[in-house]
Amino acid sequence: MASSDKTKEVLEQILAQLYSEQAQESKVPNGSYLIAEDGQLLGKITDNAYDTESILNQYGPFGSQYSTTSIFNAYSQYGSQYGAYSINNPYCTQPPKLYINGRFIGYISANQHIPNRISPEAFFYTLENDLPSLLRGQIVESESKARQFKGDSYIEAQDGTFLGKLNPNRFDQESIFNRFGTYGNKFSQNSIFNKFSPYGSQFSNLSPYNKFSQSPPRLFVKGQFVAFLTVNNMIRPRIDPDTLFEWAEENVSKFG
Amino acid sequence: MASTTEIIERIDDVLKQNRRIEWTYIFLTVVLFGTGISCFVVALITGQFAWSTPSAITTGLLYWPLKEIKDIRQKNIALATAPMLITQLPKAKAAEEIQKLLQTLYGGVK
Repeated sequence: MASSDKTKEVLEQILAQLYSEQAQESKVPNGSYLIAEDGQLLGKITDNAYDTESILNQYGPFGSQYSTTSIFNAYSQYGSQYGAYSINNPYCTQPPKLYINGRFIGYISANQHIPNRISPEAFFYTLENDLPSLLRGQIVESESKARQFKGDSYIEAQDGTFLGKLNPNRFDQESIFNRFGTYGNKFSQNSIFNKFSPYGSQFSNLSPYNKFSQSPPRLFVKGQFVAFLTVNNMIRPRIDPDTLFEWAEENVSKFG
Repeated sequence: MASTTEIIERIDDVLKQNRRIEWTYIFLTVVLFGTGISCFVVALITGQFAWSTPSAITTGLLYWPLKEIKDIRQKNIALATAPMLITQLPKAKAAEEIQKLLQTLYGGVK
């Protein structure tokens, strides 16, 4: 209802303003930190989660989902799918840079064409589960490994490309069940349903629809490999792509 | 950047709107309750107990307006607390407390 929205709106505005003022007062620290291409500090990488400037402080200007300077805010220019400096924008050409002990480590970006890239999944996984390694500059080696450690259910091409989550949630942006999402629609380059993409054509070696493919996509459930997704009868274990939706509905949790 | 006065003015505006809605809900709740009671009295006077059915239904329907009234009151308390947090606490602490208020009212996800 309108009144509740206004209450939320006004509280969020106040919060965003308070965080913005705090972020303006912050200076780029020595040591380990994330910084945007426009020079905005996006948080210190520190094991002290109570540090106001820590990226892990959910009540700080860099860790709160309500702050405009946080990569965890899905509506900010640093965290949204469309943000000019966002880690989650697959077309972003100016993603944030990660420095560990003053040394440049890489760009955190969902854009696969960025050189020296660290995937957001690998970064978040290491940040949340293995901070000491991150502080030594060691990050989970790939997006795929991060997803396996996290226990995700997903499809992965043999070249390492992520081809969508298996959870039967039509509203999940990354689910193959979302007909308007990157991995569920018929026109996306990374969709197995696009007959003209390398991951969906009848002739591509990476496609589940190529009868002679020796390197079809792999299915992972809760981080474990379960089968190849292919129409090639010679490959075992195998799940037919035409029965994928039914199979996923039976075997994958909606919230997984 | 909005000043504290502007923030307080914005909060006052929302509080006024919330009060108007709260009163509308109270009025409708009273109407619903009155209707239910009237039907019940009619049932007692006439001895036709079919008249007590609407009163049972309207009593059940009271759940939603009462819930809305309770929610709006919680929001008003949060709104009324916000200026005090901003003016009395350091910025970092005020932000933390306002975020906690938001999470209590609307859950953890933005």
